[in-house]
Amino acid sequence: MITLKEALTKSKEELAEIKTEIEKLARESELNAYIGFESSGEGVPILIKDNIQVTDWPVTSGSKILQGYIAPYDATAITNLKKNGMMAFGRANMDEFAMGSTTESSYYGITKNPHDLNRVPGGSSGGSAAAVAGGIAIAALGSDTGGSIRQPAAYCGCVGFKPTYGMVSRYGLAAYASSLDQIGPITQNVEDAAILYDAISGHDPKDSTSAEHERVSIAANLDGNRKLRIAVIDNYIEAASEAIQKAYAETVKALESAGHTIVHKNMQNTKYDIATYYIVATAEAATNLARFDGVRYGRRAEGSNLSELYYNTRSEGFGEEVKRRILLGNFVLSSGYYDAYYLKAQKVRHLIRDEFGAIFDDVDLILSPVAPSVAPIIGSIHDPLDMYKSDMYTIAINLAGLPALSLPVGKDEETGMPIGLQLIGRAFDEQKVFDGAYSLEQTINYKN
Amino acid sequence: MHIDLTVLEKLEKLSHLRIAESKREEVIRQLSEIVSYVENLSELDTTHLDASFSTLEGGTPMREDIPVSDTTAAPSILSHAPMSMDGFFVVPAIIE
Amino acid sequence: MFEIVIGLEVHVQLNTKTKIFCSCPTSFAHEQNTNTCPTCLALPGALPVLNIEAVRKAMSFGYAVNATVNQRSIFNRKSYFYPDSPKAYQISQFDVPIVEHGELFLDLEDDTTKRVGITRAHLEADAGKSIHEGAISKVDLNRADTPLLEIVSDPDMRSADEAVLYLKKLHSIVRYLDISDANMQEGSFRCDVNVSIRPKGQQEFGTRVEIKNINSFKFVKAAIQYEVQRQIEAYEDGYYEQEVYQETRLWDVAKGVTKSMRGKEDSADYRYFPDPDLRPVLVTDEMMEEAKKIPELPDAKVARYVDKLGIKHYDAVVICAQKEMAYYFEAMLESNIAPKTAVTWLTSELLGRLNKAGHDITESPVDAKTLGTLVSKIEDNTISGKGAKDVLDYMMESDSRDIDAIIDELGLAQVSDDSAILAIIDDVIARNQDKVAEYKSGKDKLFGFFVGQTMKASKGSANPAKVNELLKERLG
Repeated sequence: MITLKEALTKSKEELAEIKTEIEKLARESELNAYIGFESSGEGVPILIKDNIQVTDWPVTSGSKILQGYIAPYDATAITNLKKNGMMAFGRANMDEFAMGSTTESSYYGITKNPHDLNRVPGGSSGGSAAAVAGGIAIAALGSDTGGSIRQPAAYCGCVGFKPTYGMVSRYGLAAYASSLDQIGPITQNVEDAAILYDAISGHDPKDSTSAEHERVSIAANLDGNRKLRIAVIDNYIEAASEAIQKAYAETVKALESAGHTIVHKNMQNTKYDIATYYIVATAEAATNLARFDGVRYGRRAEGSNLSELYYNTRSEGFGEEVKRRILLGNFVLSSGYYDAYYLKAQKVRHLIRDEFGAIFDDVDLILSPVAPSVAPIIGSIHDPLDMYKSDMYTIAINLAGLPALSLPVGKDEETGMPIGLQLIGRAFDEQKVFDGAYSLEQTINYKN
Repeated sequence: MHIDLTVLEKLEKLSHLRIAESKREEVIRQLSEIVSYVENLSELDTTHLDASFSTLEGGTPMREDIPVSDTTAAPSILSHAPMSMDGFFVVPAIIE
Repeated sequence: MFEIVIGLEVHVQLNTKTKIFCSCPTSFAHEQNTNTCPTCLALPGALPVLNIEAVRKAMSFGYAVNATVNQRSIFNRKSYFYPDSPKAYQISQFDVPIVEHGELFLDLEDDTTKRVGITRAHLEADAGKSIHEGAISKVDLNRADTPLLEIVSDPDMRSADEAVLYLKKLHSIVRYLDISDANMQEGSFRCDVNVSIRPKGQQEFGTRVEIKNINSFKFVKAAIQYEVQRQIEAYEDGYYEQEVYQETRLWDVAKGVTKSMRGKEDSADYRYFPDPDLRPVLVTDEMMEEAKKIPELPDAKVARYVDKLGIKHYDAVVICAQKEMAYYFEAMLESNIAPKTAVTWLTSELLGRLNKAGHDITESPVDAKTLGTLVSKIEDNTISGKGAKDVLDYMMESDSRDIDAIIDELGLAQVSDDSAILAIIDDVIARNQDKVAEYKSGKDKLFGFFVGQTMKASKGSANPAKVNELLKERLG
């Protein structure tokens, strides 16, 4: 599949042909990465995760409850995309309301990992990653709240970037956890990710959490020759599978050979990150999803009175995982528990951020695993808590609002599945993250 | 903290959700397990920390009081609404 | 026997041009759901952005009631389900409101004042409207997200009358500040009353009951009286615990009673937490300085009228109760007339006529400048007081505001010229020599006869004061 960089040099006619070809491949594909084939705008086609609003598209967030809803406006990220020679083409499958790590909770069927159709593509941006890695999309937009861009990118063997919180507008992104969500690029390589990130990022007055940070083009300043100090987290890697550990060790060697300095660090037990995340995210999600009531849009169930309408609409319209998180979210906010759970978790976020801060006083980037294993077999994770624990490496980054990029570094010999690692940077230090990733990518020279 | 049937019922009310009879025990078990897990935070000393946290600096942006009419969202939403009439959203009567 | 304790919560709809969290107009919409956008429709992905004017108005209110304006305040999500609340949470302020610890002063009947504390005032978003029609309800979100300022008083009031005085003063302040239309009937000034009773001398408060759905000051008084009676009866009958519990009751206008709203017991876990879509509200020192520049408020005006203009406290309170009346009065004074005279002509002559016609001062056909000019014509002796009344009557019915022309037309020009009056007086004396003799021999009462004859001979146009003065001269 042509890269984004190259596609942006093509003429209108050539792009039309490319799009036709992509659509053909996508429709024929058995990945179920695309759940819609709508088009909006003109330019290089970009696949859009189905929780990002595009005018006149039936944007479902992977849920039954939004059947019948037609978005009447473009998300700012889409508007920005269109200003930069790109268009929105196709809706990517996802875990329902972005709650999940495998895309198995989508109402619109599972998506398969292009490297092994028996395995999950990861989640929640599974459709986006599977399509890019599977050669049926040039590039895609995903969203990341606890790892939902980075982890599917790692499982599928492509590049995924989560910006510093606030660098990409959330206006038009169906909210899951407001203080954690970010839209980001999922691409074939690091440079494409920088190009797509440049296109969608920027301050937005419609989003009160949009950072006022000055924007500089990352792609234009991409420098793979920069020598950086990179931390490796020894106690983290110990908790990962052998395959991951092996890939990690090789990556460290590659970074050293590229001239970077490796520094050894340790971080606090990830169980606190997981606990903090599942308190904060579910609390915010419970209230963000309360608007789905069948009154103004979406699928309304039968109900003889208003109360019945609410209960039936939501009980029939939401899947199990979403319901679990809404119940949990209301629990941690409810009277009597708020202090012990929600407020406590918010306080712990200071600890998490300070811990990163202390490490970044000494280094430029942190190299970390993205997931404790390669992509699991479809249907193999039953217990919600086990699912949550698999987010162990990605969620602290969202809790601290930091930028992180996941890129493929190798393959597991045994399963043939790709392995990805992430580079984490200081807040608003996007350039270093991309530079470090670019350097690593060139050194490793991973082939899909 | 143990989640039991009473707690589940209260949460269902707050969430406007009804868990199917056949699933209630399982959901209670799952929620209990998760809640027990997240209680690990009590192991951390947070007494000196601020309960408000943000990754962003500064106050909320404030916009000037200048009207802008959106003429596209409502007509579109109303035309696709589950039930609408004369420009109203229609729901079954609220029973007090 | 019993002490009544009343606290008041007033929701004031701010008169900003746009909603609190989106730029939709707040102006009257002819069609339902036309002043809406993704944010107030609560579509997926929509986000709130705070209206600075709502913040300014809240701050002005804070300064007007001597409150603390918090430089940092927080918006919270307050969760509950209702079709007119599309996000199923209201964005409000909870533990860190923008205004706290204020006060206002009630003008009591005996010309004293009573201080009532204002606990807090905070910003929040209004809900839309549901119209009930039989088996269905129709939802209109035009009003959704209009800015509200919720003003909560300390439970300092001890009678229904005090409650009404508080509301009237608050209403007046809000209108002087021009932060709201504050129209109770239209819903831009909504009062919820909290009432409890306790045996006199008891320290603890009794159980507080909230009453909603009251849309006039008259009904505030009636609702409180009914509820107090209900609570006292329950106490005296020994059923206090069963009958009086913390709940919200609705005022039923038709029946004149408060009614329990069923099914509300455990619905109120609002699960407040800081709204992650907004950052803290931080107001700058400049904003605070600007917000302190508020117009002269009723209490200050009353004090100034009494001290500097020398009018009675009671009259000052009446005039300042409504800003339009105070502004009318001040505009009248620009004609350089005596304040006390202006008071009489405004509150007695003009208002008397307006009330008869069923009009408010804002609908007065005669403007302040004109009335002021009219009064000045009395003071410079152009016409008599009675003549002025005739002119006013004339202007109430017609469009002409040319006072001189009207005076001419009605022949009301008063004669104050000494020689003209003396001529008449001399004539009257000449024709009533017998009476003159009687007067000079001691019949003082006859003075009135000469006054009357002189006025009659002048067809009422003689300046009465002059007549008196000159008659005294002539008669000795």
